[in-house]
Amino acid sequence: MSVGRREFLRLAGGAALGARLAPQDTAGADPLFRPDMVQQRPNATTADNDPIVTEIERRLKCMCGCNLDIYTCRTTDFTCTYSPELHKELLALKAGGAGPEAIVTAFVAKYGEQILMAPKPEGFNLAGYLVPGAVVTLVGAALAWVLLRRAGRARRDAALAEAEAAKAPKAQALRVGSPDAAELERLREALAEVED
Amino acid sequence: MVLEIVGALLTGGLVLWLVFQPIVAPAPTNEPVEPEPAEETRRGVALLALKEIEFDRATGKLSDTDFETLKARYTDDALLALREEEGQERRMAAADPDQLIADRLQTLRSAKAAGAAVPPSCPSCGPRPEADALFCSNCGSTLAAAAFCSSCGSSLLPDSRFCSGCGTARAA
Amino acid sequence: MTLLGQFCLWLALIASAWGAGVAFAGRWRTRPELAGTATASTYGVCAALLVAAACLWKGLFAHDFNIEYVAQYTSRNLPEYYVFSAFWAGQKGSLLFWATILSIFGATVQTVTSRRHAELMPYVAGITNVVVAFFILTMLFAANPFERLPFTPEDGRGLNPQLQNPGMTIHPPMLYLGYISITIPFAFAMASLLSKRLDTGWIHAMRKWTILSWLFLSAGITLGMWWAYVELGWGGYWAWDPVENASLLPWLTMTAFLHSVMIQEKRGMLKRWNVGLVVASFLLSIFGTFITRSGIIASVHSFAQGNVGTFFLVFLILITIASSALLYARWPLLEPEAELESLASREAAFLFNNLALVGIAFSVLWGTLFPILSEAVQGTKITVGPPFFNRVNVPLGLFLLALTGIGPLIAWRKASAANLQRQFIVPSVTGLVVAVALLAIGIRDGWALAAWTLAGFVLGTVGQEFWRGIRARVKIHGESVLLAFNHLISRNRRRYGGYIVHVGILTYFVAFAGMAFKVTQEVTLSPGESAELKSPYGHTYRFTHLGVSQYDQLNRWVSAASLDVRKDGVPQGRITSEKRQHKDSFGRNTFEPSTEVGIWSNAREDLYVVYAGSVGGTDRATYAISINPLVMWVWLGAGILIVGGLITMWPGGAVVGSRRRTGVEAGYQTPLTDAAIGSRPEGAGIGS
Repeated sequence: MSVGRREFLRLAGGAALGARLAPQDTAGADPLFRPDMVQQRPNATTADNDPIVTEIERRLKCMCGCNLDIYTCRTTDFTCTYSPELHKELLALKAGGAGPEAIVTAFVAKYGEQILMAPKPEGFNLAGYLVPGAVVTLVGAALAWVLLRRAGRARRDAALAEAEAAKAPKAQALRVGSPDAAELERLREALAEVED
Repeated sequence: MVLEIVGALLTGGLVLWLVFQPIVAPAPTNEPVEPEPAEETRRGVALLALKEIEFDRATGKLSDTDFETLKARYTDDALLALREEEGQERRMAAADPDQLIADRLQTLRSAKAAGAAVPPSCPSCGPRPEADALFCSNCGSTLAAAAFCSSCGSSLLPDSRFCSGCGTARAA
Repeated sequence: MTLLGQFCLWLALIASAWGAGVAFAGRWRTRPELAGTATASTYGVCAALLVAAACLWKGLFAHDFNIEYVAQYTSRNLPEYYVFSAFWAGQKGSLLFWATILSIFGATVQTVTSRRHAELMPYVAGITNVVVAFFILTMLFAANPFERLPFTPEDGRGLNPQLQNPGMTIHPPMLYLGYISITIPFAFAMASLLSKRLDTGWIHAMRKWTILSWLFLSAGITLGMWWAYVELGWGGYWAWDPVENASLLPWLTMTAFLHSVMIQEKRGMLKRWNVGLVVASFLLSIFGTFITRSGIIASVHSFAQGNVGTFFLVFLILITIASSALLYARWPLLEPEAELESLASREAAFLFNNLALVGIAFSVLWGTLFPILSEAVQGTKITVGPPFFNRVNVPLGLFLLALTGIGPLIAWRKASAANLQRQFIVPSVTGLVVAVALLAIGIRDGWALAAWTLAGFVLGTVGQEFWRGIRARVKIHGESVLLAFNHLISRNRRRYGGYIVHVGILTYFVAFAGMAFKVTQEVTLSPGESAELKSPYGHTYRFTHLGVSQYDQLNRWVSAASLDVRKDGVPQGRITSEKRQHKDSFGRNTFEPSTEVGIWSNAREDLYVVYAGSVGGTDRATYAISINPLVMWVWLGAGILIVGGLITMWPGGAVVGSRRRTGVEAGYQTPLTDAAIGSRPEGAGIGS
């Protein structure tokens, strides 16, 4: 189901009207000494806490320039005038029977792609989602391939060397040649000196 | 205002002094340089590696066969480093100071005669900036410009192909 | 004091230009006194900038509102410690702070670095001087903190209330210290390339600096999270904001460097890659500052003014070109000394760790810049917010967490199958036990399950490493368990300090996953009314509104709304959240009312209460109440990480016996006669 622009505006207008008519429910409360020192807030309703509403709001960005989603902005930045209005718009759409996807579509139609907190995974946006993962996977695979190939080569070399060693008995691969006993003794001493 | 000008003069003077003090009163250049910590020398690295694989075997990280392979390799490293060090010690102990000075003069003169000062070059660390260095200021190995015989330890003349002490062919 | 401050900026500029000029002209190679003046120039720059900084502080504390910066960020009634921190509250002051701290680092590195590396030091001084000079130029021509107003306001605007938080006095300096200190490793990398001394000397010379700057960055980022959590009021600590991302980028590349540098030290491999990582970290730290300052990407806390962004962009491009050209010129000299031998080796594990870290850095950078790219390519403005970053980075992050546990289990060079089995069994079982336990208590969130299972695996790894290490020491050296534990850490600080850092990291992951179970609710209550909220652990919290009290305090008017809290019917006490209307010394309101969050923290969960506002000007209050699980573990993780980092930095460790008891030390420049006659000068021994 989708909501046309005209219907959207009607719904939004109706919501604004409804909000104006609803009496502020301040039963059982006394006026503050300095009411000008705090922000004014409407009564929180069950609709404000509706998980479906908050879930949709987390997908939509507040247009005040704060970079937050509507839900975070309206429950955090109490100086923002945009997010409560967007919230009301959303509630009106929902009251009109629009499902989550329809609401999101309606918002995108009205405010443009940038109202989505994350771009739709389609077209060029797919590049946004896939490039990092693809790069890491490709580089990782290349790395693994090179290492495996090297390991294979090393194993072949080792096998060759072993075969040769079998022909010429006990060929020392050490660069130092065959160390004498005194030298080994000095190495042992040096090792003993290492405090580990 | 006056305070600021005084402040500016003082700061200016301080900065000038700090920046140009090395030119006005150069620090003595032949102060000994503290040597590389033993852990960072070739010998130290090889010894620590030996200790580490021993420990890794004890904790079960290295299998016995891998341990033997690695041990052979690091022992080789360590022995090479020890040998090099020993050679250096022996030749320093054996060398006659007068001879060393004479050699040094000879080196400097021949370098001068050859024209531009050829910067000495360390076989492992590359060219050294100190025109008259005998040992690499980084790794401590002997520089090509002032070589010593690998068998008897006498100092070699810059262009000689054989040791003047024992006749052994100079190592490449 | 603006005249003096101004004069000092010019003085520092000239001194740094002189130092850089001498260093790069190269004549100092043959003339030691020139090398001396190149390095000593850093002391001059530092002295001049310290005086300049003192001038700005003097202006701030004297409430000299004729200075534009002072009028902009302070007021007469601002508490003194915030007057102090106002130094870095704005762009101009931050630039001076950057330059001053960098000059202190630049001078310190010249004094503390061993004379063994004397050949690198003029270049190091040259590089730090160039960077300092850039900041001074930016200040002098784009954002002068000593600019005066044509008139003197009676009072200043005051500090943004969100910056009036104890965290804000230390978070920016800490983060700046991290950013700034990366300049030192960068300077060493460049110096080694310029001087062609490409052995591990430069790495030894700057090792402490890399860990130090990594620690500063870690602490700075975590403090930023803490500040966002307690001050911004949205109940979270990380929102993938461009500025946050910018601070994460150099941290990721530095972390990659700290790992891959071990391969260079041990095996002489990855030299080019390591230089590249250091250069990239520095560029990213400048890029981070650029993003904050240029406003090129929309962000909650970017405070862009004037054309500072252009300066940063030009500098960024110049540095990129210069360092790439230098790296290219030295490319052949950076040949690896060995080859990787096996896929199952510590080296390979480090390579994959680098891949994950740099991959995350790339994906964060990619996401941060993608809106610009998208606008260029498809012409539509799009938003790349937390859902995007989570989808792309959470899998990569978990891959990295897994490597944290796998890497230490594999031996250097080559591990055999039998060994791998022996190594992996305990950690894998630990992870599995955690997973089964979590499933049994009914946790079904896939990502959280994965994160906690992997955390169990990593903990198993670290525990096994310590346990087997202690056992081996007990067997080899016959030490007691306690002594063995002590020696295990003190003799191999890097390895075991690193493991402790790993525990810190896994603690962060455990805490991050906890946020999947956050519950939150908005309620409006008249005094006496109450609301209930079920915690993820199954407890029921009951919040009863007690009322709103209003009073004057310091530089603000406070409206404090309080809730009585009961947990499963048991009274817990009272939690208070405030609205603060800040005002100047004439009683005029300065900013919009700001919110002070009420937070109760324990190891399991945080109660997080925000007083959102009043209904119709009465004491009927609207609250946003959340229960945030495991938040405390983020801060604990930071603590563990810093302890681990300090252990790796602490001097000492395994000692190789002094190499010669007689004879000479290598490395003398003119020790010939001394050495030959066998008298070694005092104080030339190891460790002097």
